[in-house]
Amino acid sequence: MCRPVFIGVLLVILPFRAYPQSTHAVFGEVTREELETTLLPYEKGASATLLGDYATARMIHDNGSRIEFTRHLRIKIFKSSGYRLANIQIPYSKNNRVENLKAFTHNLEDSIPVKTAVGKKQFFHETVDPYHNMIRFTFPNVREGSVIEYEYTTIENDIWAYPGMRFQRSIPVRHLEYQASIPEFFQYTIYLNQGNLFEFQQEILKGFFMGLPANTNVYKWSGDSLPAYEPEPLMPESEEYLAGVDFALASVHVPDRISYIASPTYARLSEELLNLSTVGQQLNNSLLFAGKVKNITGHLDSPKQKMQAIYDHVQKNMNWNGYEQLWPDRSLEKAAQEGTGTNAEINLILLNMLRTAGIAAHPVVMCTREKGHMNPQVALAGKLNYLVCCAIIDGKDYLLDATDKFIPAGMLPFKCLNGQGWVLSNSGGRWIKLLTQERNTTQEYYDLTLNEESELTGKAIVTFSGYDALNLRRLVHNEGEAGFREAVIDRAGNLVISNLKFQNRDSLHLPLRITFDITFRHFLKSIDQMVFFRPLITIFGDYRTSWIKDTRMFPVDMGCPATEKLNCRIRLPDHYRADELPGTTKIGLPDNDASFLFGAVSDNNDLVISLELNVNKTFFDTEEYQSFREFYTQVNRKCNEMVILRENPKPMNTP
Amino acid sequence: MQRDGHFKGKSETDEHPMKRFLFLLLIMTVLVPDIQTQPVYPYDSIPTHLRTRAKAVVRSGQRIITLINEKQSRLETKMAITLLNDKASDLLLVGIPYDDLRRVSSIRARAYDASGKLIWILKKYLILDARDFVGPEKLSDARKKVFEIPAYNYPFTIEYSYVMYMQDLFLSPAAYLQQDPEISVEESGIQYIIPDGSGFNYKTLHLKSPADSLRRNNKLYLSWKEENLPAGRSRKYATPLVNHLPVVYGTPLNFSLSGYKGSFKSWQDYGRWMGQLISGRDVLDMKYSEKAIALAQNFPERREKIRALYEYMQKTTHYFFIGFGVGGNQPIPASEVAESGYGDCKALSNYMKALLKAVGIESYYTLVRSGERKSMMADFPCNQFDHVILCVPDERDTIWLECTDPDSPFNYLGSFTSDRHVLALTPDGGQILKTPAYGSNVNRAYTYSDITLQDNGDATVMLEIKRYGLLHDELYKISESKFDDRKEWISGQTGITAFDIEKEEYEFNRQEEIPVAVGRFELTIRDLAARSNQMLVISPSFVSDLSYIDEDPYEVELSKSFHQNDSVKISIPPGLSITYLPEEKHINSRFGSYSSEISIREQCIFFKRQMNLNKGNYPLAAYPEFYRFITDIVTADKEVVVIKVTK
Repeated sequence: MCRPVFIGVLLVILPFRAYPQSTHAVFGEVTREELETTLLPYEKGASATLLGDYATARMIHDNGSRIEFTRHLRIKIFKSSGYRLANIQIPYSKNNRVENLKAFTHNLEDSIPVKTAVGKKQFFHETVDPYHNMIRFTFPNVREGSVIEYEYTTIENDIWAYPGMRFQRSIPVRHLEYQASIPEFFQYTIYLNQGNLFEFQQEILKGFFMGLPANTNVYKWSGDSLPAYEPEPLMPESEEYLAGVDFALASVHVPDRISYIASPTYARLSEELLNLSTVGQQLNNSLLFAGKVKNITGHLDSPKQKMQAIYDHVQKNMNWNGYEQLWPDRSLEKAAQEGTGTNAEINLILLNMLRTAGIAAHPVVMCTREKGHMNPQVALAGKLNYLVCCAIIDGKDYLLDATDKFIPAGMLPFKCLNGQGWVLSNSGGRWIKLLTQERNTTQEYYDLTLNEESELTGKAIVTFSGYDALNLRRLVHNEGEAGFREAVIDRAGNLVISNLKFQNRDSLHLPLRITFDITFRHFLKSIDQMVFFRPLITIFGDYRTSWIKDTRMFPVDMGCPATEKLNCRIRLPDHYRADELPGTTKIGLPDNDASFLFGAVSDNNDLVISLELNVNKTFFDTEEYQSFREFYTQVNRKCNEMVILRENPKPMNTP
Repeated sequence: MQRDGHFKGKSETDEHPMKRFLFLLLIMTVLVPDIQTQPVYPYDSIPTHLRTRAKAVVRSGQRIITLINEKQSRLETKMAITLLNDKASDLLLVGIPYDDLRRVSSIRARAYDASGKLIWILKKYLILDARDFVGPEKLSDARKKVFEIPAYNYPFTIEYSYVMYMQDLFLSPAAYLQQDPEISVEESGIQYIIPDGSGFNYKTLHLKSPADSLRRNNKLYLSWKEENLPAGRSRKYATPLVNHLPVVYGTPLNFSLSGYKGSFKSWQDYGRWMGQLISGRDVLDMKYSEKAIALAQNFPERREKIRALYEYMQKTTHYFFIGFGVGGNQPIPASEVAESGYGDCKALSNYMKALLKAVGIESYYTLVRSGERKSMMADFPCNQFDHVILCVPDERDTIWLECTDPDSPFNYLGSFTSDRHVLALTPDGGQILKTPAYGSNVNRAYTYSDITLQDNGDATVMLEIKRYGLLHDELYKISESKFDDRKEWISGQTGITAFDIEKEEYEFNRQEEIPVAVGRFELTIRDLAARSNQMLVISPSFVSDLSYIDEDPYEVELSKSFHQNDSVKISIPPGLSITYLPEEKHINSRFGSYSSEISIREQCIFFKRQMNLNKGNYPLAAYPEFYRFITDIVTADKEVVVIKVTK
């Protein structure tokens, strides 16, 4: 339900439907009903609601093709906390224009409707920077109960930027409609999300464009009574998940004048980038970094060692400038010389060096998580935003991104875990899965003794791999041991930790391992001849995640599978015995999507507790949320069962 | 409540230091030759203790402020910072803020690698001019010159300098010698050059070294220099680190802005100057003053008249800041606010003043240094203000009105403006007054829980949370928020995570001067008690437990006094018996007190917990005692009741 649906280029017209009468409210004329309205059930708690958002986009030809986008918004303010909605900002790029801006506040004063216009002088025109402008204003006489409305037209000069529309907003929406008209010369790929939340209609109008006879496709979407959207933990990062519609220019074909493809097939994209761009031609230039490659790999035999050495070199010497880029716009030597560059520059330098060393390597293009899904058919203009490198050794793919100082070769940054990427190659290319074997794993091992003060004291070994290891390595590097202790350990309760040691800090391909001496204070309760505690003896483990929301509007997207393991051995004083232990349990979701194992055993004076939590699936749809949440509830229940130890045990009663 | 830059100088005194960072004004002491002969700021020479916890180190921060005349000053600044790791990448985007009263020139920037070799020089065309955005509810002439330094291999050093001419030095007297607790300082200095005959006052806070002064060529050179300031660590019960940063407040005695001449010889004088700026702006057009008179007429009592007009103002206005040039320091005339229904703290306070004036009630426009745990320095006249409220003298007591919050109770100041000195503009000039402090007799938090425990450890709970005074704000805000946020809040308050809200209701009384908020919840909680085959274990103080603190000492500051009182009744299932009850606890110290009582009556456990914290600043030596106090409370909170399950 939540995955975006690509409806492709809408050219084939289904049975003709009568074009609906527009319900467009008349600007400046607010009904008494709107002035007197109160919160509807689905708006509960809202400080304001969008009474109407009426948007129209159409293409015009005036010394070039442009998009005229007109919008009329009407908002009802219920509470003073909604006054912020009266502060309006209309950003636009320097190349575009905003016209016909008008705004009114409507109030009921002594039950008489009163309308106040925003004066011309109250619209402030700001120069944001050399490329962007903004119009700003606030509505006068806003109070609880006011209806505010404004209307404007933007002339967008870039036909690649056909405006999209979000149907879900941070306030409830009573009515929203968007009508987009596109002459047949322009083909846009239209993608919808949560299309079930709104209505769609379409018709074709015959007419002219650029002086030529042309059919115009008129699409109309409308939605009613949409509740406010609010962000949820671990929801997908892309805006695409909000109900709405977006456009990507696919191609332009004006008979006898212009014809080009804006969103090519991936095979075509490979061709364009590899063979028709300057940087593409640099990729095979083995002279570019020949000396360096020789220095780095001259003494190495196996291709895998060479790959590692080249990766290490680029990772160490090139610094990512924070910009995400699909393809470089300057030469690779220039970036190499400067020692700083975009991901595309850094990863293509890496690629060139690998090829120079005789290792097959290809660029991989993709959308990062915040850009949403990659279109399976065509490279949508403006959507692809990232590039990494894929090396192939003995038929095995190694995905490489050298922009992060703490990522091992073969692992991609978390933002890249977004389904599939496209490998660019001269033979056209292929799809590649972006998540390989990565898994966030935390394993804790404690060897403890119960002492006379009812404290648990002993040694700990903890290992981390995957993105947890990456983040901790960065933390330790940036803030040292002190920072690590403050950020991670001191927060975990009343512990005494000493002799903290890090292993494999710089061996990125190995798990990060820490060892330390530990005393858990105030962990046990000791009453009469009895000691009891919950068996969850963990500092780093994440077993008790609780999903507070009853239902979800958006899926849970973890990005990467996870494993948490805990093994704890406790030596008891001679006169203590385990009196009651929680039973061994296995809890799981179907298809092994997630599983939890609990075990506790005792043998004379030794008590061993083990827990293992695996979340193997990374994407749980809204329908799966209930069972996912219930899984965690069960895990929490299990972790709530106590271990009971007794001094000088009496003979056991019947069970 | 909305605060705004009552003065443009706000960025130097009250904003988060990161924003201020770029504002440091430094002196170009050494000109770096283009052909380098020796390394510049090599990484190796940074003392180890300055690298600890720091994301960057200021190698040298220098600024010279020259007082040219009453209208204008010149600032020269040069700053060199070594960025230690990618946490400092935000420093690569440099923005130098300015506005209609300031002019920036001669911007230069360079970068050096770890060894001190020059690797980058800023080209002029890369400097952009951009708006300095402060928020969708604020419009002003604030702009900035922006440039970006490439990300080189950490550690590396950036260096930049510029010159600024400013007409409003007197509005921003604060010069921090360490800007950000996360950035350590190797050396940082400031120098004022004051022509003979110009008055100048200064005050320093948290400085290690004294001023150095020198008179030459009819000028006084006053300088300060601090060295080796390490990065800090923030602690739970401590004053925020930013309140301990070394700072020089330097202010010219006489100044002039857009023809308004003023002086800092006394608070009275400064108040008089500000009085000129607002003078005549509190007059309403006839139709609005008549409206005010009509409204007030319904109430015979003076206090009720004030309340009625205040509520009218709250209902008919909203916050919006507009400030350009001198206007950034001057309220929009009251008649315009009456017309448009919006304004900032200056405009709305002045409008409120005008409404009162229309019915013959005198009030004072009052300057505040706002923010939790902040107050003006009453002993040093200089501009320290970023907010305006209204003070209404009354025979019973002074009435204080916060005019930017449509929800604020009458005569109530939240923690951003209460308990501090303020400057009221009276007809005789500025006068220092003190806003009320709300003590633990006002800031009270009560909970009542009625728990019905089941034999599997689950429970249904009727929970009532009642809050008074400054503590009511949070509950009031949360009641306005979305369902998930409310659920999160309850979870944060009680520490329970697996629960459902069956019912909830809220009640407020914000008409009185001590506002109160009540939330009533019916919850079903899973696993409230830990469970085994033979017993259930429940912590009766689950609603308000503190958490442990660590033993490393620091100076404790408790920012407000408050009183917390929890009553819990736990009904246990029939057939189960209580085998262990904790003892009563009484803990007393200068920081506060704690007591718990517990008893059983017919299958019910009655538990009472009371805690008081006393506002105050406590020296380092007091920490072991504080640590014991908190640890004892936490340990007491961790006490449990053991219930035997007989099967």
